[in-house]
Amino acid sequence: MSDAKKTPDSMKYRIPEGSAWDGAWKMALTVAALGGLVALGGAFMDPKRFAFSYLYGFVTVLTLWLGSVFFVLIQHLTSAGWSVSVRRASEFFVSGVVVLPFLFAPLIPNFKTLYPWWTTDKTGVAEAQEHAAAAPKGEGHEGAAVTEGEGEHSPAELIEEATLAKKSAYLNHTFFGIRMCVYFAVWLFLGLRLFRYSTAQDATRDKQWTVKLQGFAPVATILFAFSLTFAGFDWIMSLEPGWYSTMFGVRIFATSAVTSFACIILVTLGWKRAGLVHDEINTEHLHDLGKLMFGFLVFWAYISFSEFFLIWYAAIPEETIYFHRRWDDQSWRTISCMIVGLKFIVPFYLIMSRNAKRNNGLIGLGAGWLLAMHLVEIYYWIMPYYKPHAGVQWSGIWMEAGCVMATVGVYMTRVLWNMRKHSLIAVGDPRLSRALDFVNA
Amino acid sequence: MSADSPIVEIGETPLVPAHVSAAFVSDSVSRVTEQASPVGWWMVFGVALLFLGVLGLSVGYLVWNGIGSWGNNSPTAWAWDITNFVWWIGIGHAGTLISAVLFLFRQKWRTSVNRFAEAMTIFAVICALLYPTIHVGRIWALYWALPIPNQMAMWPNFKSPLLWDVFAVSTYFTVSLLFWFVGLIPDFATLRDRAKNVARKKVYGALALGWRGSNRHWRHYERAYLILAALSTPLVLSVHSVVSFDFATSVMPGWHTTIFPPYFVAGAVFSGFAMVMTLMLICRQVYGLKDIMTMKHLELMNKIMLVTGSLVGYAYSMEFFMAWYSGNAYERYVFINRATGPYWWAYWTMVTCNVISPQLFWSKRLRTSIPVMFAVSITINIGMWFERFVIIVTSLHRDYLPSSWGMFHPTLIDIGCYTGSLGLFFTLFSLFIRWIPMVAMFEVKAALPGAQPSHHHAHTEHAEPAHGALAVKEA
Repeated sequence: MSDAKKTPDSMKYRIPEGSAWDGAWKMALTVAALGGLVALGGAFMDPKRFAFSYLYGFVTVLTLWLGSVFFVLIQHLTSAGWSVSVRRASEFFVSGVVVLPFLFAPLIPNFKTLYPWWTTDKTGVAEAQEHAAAAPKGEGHEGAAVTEGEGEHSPAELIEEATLAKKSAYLNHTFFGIRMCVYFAVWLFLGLRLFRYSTAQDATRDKQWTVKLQGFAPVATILFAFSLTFAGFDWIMSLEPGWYSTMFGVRIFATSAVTSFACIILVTLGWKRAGLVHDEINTEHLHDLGKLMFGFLVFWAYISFSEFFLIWYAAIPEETIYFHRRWDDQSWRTISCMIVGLKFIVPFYLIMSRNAKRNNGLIGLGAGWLLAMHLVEIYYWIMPYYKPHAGVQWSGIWMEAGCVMATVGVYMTRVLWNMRKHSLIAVGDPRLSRALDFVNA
Repeated sequence: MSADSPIVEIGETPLVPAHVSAAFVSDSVSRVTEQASPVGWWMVFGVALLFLGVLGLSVGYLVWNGIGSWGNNSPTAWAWDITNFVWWIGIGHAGTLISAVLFLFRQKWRTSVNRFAEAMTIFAVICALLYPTIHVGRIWALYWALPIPNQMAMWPNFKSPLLWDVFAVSTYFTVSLLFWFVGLIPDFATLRDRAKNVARKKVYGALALGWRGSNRHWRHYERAYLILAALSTPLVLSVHSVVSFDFATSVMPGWHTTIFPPYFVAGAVFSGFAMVMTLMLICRQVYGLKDIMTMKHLELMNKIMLVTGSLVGYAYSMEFFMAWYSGNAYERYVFINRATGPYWWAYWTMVTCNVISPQLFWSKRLRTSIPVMFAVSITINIGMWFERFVIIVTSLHRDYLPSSWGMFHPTLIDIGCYTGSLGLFFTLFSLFIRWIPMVAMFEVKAALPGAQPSHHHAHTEHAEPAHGALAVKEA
């Protein structure tokens, strides 16, 4: 078989003008605009809820983006051949990085609403340190959960303040701001470079781009791992500044990975349906993507369970508070159970079998299901802090819907826009023929 | 061009040199079990037997006199015994990872390494099982750990992670042994067919379970192997996760942290690869298997060590950061004490060996240098022993009450039990090398270029001879 026959032409996999995919970005933009209006209305009606809802929307997008970066990086790290024809799908998601700083911007004025430590920082430090000296150590922590929320100067609050004072070297305005800038700088650098190098190869077929990407991937992975972890600590974990868990970064990573596999599967199925990629993305690739999605789902369950289990078993109050917030109230308990039953048990059996992964309808259902459950999981991460002791506030859920529509809409506008500009398959990759020949043994 | 042929411009190289043919693989691997052993083997076996004797004496003394013969004391109730247990269990993990996980990922390069690593797994788990067994003190009552109905109406505590360990490790051992044996069947048949005397024919014939290499045999074999691989994969994760629960479920600062399960698994794979590397480098040298265990294999393994070493480094940094971030005085103290207290040397040995030394593998020149990788693999083995020592001893020796603080000092019996376990391991390993094919011959053959389905196809379309063994033979 000749090379020319096996490496297709870069114009073959373009979205034709006037097709549904060509106009898809307009739909995303409309969704974003509608969501934006709703969110804006919410911001006036209930600014506090808006802060949490918007963070919810942002984290939903961020995790999707992080997962996509992981997929692209791991392909370069392992010099993978099978995945070359589906890698571009993920790279489009990576290319959406440019909108992330803009999407984050509305959160900045809301830090004081979101993060309890934001207001105690600086002003409260000296006072809190006095409390720290006065408060009984060790024993006193046990009281924290019991007396939570009693009166203005409850022992629990004093301890909370004292704990915050100890963390002020990390949780303070300046350092938080610097870290935020570093994360975005790193992410823009990674995202743009991964996308640019790969698309540059489409036209030139220069193998040097592959070498460069392989050389870049290890360093990029380290930057990725630490930026993901600490961004997670800053923006999500510090919603509950007294709580801590070393697994938290791993959990964010695992959730992100599952989500991005679901997205890649849905997008490639969409392309196939529109006849854009012919048989170059076929059952074999979907089967492997399905295996990875299944594998990471199990990994996610494993680390989430381990985290929960160790906290439950040791029963240290400042750690168990995280799960108390999501269990003591019946409505949150329902959501906690949904995470176990509907994010793990149902899709586990749904996509476990080989036949399911090789059936476009079933694997698409599994991916869509996991994407929907992603929305629930992020809700479970963020929203318990809006009204900590009051259960799920169902009546205002339109605001979360609006924020997710706005953030996901903006992000997808950018992603879909980029799809119109580039080949849907990395045609210049020297390993493409391996992906085309790939068969699951 | 076949899709499987390496693309030189992007740094790809063939896995094995072109002259490696199916016959070459059979010959060079089977020969080891058919000829008299080289002097090197006798030396290793002799020293190993000596240390096995040390183990026998130490364990005998321990059982007769009691656990007080060890240096374990009141704050450090666990010390070298559990350190050694976790160390050996960890070493065992590489075997299953290479056999099962890399098999599921269809990594063909694993074929030269997997048999070796699986054998190492079994022997390492045997060594590991020794420690909890003798640590119970009255080893004649060991069966109390099992839920066996008895007239005393006494049951093990199902809430205890130590009991889960009994189940997890014994399951792991059983499945690993099955997996290893199933994988050996076609190779035992090869040895049987090559046998020149009746005894060999009978023994290998019995072990080969009547294998004839028929289509039906292969079909059943591959199905069984896939199922065992799928069973082993969760086991790799679960065993060391359960081991980590032994520590992490407690409220002991330095032990109780949520990242422990995946962190222990990463560390286990890391140490296991280091041990495989040490053994492989010796064997390929002594038995001249450099064309089967090539530099490419070694380089790939070094990359995995770099990855897992960095994962372990990530976990160390998370633990340290969270200890500070928690604001908990005891957590903070444990970590400061690790780095600057009386056991500072153990902590910094751990960091140097586990996090810093594998970073040498960023350089292609260093990760393809035999002396460097040999030194680093030994360093990692040392570092991973110290990791467990640091976790166990430094966390325990200064607990909540300063009045009960103490130090741990190993006794001669501690040292004998540890070095003796190395003797047990190397004795078993030497016997394995001597009598069992140390490379999965049929799997290596299946990964040769000539064995690919696309190979014949590619050959007919091209005027020039195709790469690989077939082409060499024709020439």
